[in-house]
Amino acid sequence: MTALFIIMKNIILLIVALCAGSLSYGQKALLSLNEQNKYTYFVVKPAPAQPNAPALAAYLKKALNGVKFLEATNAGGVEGRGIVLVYKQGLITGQEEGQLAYKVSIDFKDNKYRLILTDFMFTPYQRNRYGVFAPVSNFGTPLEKLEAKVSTKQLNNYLDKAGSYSAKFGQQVSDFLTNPAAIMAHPAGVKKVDTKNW
Amino acid sequence: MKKKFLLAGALLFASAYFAQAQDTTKATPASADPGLTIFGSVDTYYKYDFAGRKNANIATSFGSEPNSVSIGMVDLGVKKKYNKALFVGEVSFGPRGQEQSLLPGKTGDSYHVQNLYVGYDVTDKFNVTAGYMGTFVGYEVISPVGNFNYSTSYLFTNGPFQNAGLKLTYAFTDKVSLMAGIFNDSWNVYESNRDVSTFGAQLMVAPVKGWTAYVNLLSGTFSGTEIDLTTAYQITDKFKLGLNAATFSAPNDGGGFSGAALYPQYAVSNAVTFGLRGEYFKNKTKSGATKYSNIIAGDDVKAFTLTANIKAGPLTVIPEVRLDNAKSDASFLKSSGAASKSAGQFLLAAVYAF
Repeated sequence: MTALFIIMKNIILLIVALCAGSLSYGQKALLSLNEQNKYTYFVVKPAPAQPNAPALAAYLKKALNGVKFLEATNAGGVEGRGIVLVYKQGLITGQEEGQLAYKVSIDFKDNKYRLILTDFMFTPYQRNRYGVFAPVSNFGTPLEKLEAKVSTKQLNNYLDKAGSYSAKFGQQVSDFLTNPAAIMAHPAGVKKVDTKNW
Repeated sequence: MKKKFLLAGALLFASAYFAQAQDTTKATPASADPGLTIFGSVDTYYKYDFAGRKNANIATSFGSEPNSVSIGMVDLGVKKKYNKALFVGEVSFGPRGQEQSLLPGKTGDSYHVQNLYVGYDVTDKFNVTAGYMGTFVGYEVISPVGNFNYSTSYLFTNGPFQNAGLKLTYAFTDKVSLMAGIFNDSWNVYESNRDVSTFGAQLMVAPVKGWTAYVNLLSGTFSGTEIDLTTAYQITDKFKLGLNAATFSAPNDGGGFSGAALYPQYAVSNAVTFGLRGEYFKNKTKSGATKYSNIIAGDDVKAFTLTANIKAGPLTVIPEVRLDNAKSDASFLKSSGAASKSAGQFLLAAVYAF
């Protein structure tokens, strides 16, 4: 009986240890390191034969908050940059903790597209004289170099935010390229129905 | 039976953990609002003037009570931005947040308001803000959270603290923006003395990464004219250099002041930063009784402040030593009561920001 109890205890402890490790796995698993050892969100998916890059850029600027600059390139792709705010839990309510700036590129080839979000730079926010939270400076720190400056919990939070935002970005790109006519004809969430045909 | 129950419980617990790991990482787009934001701070300090007893020679703002464990303020603010509209309301209680930074209005009350304003983003680049706001002029601010040093400079003490008015800001790019506005004729009070006749402007440039500079102008026939340069350059990860220079002319040839302060800071670790403030301040009034922080007409002072910021999360402990040296002996006193050209103080403060 005692031996059985010890075995069960060890199994439970092992499961708890695995769970604790998985807590930080989250969305940061969507990021990987590129050739320059920068955190990167990278997906390759099927694309239509003649994608409308300007329309895609215009759509993404409306559909996603934080996109600062996005335009079609001469090569037929899309390039740009943006920011995503990172929040922390203050004493009572949430507060802006900082911002993650990123660069984005979408390239098309052989009926495929390649989406890359990379060059994540973190800039901490601080309350300014007007009572709003604003960047401490325009001196950002690459996400890859933050480990020495912030706690593990903070870094994991930033990586999770970068991963989840990138995933949402990717979903918008995929939705548009899958059915651009439907996306552009109807605003998101509004369905058209023919009531005469029943 | 017991074995199966324990195993089932462990598996259920594990599933809950995996599910939570996915749910805590919700995407947060840039305009997503956490709702109403509440912020603030509390600060307390002990100051010892080297002249001893209850002498308080250095007459700059805050940290003014000598040989006493004293309080700064409880500062509480709320902020909400919904789409393009923003409001901020901030009140303060305590010496720093009341008589040391707020002047009473005509009814004799300041209502403890540090900031009370609304703003609207007309476009991505153009913003309109109106109300009672922390001044845009100068390097240092009222809130201890916004300053590296706990004691303040002469330039800060004698410049504006708040301005009530309407301002328009246009961001040409991320690196250049221009603000222009009209403000009440009186500084630091929420109502005008006569009218809304002070003109203010600010040019912001961020020429390179880590460097931001502001050129400020505040001019009115009632409160005078101040021109100010405020700039900070994060030269390396660890080293930052700030500069503030200003000149003020009081109305009706009533004198004025000028000065400059340099703020080098070096972070020796994530938790500890050392900084030095070196300031030169001159009362440029030619004659008469006009004093600025006890510096008499025609006199000048050099002030050196060595400060450390020791951070533990939201708490910052600030030990500081300051030495001021004036040209004449009219501003400071020795412990004997005799006039002195110099003064010094040690200060230890704690600031908790939330």
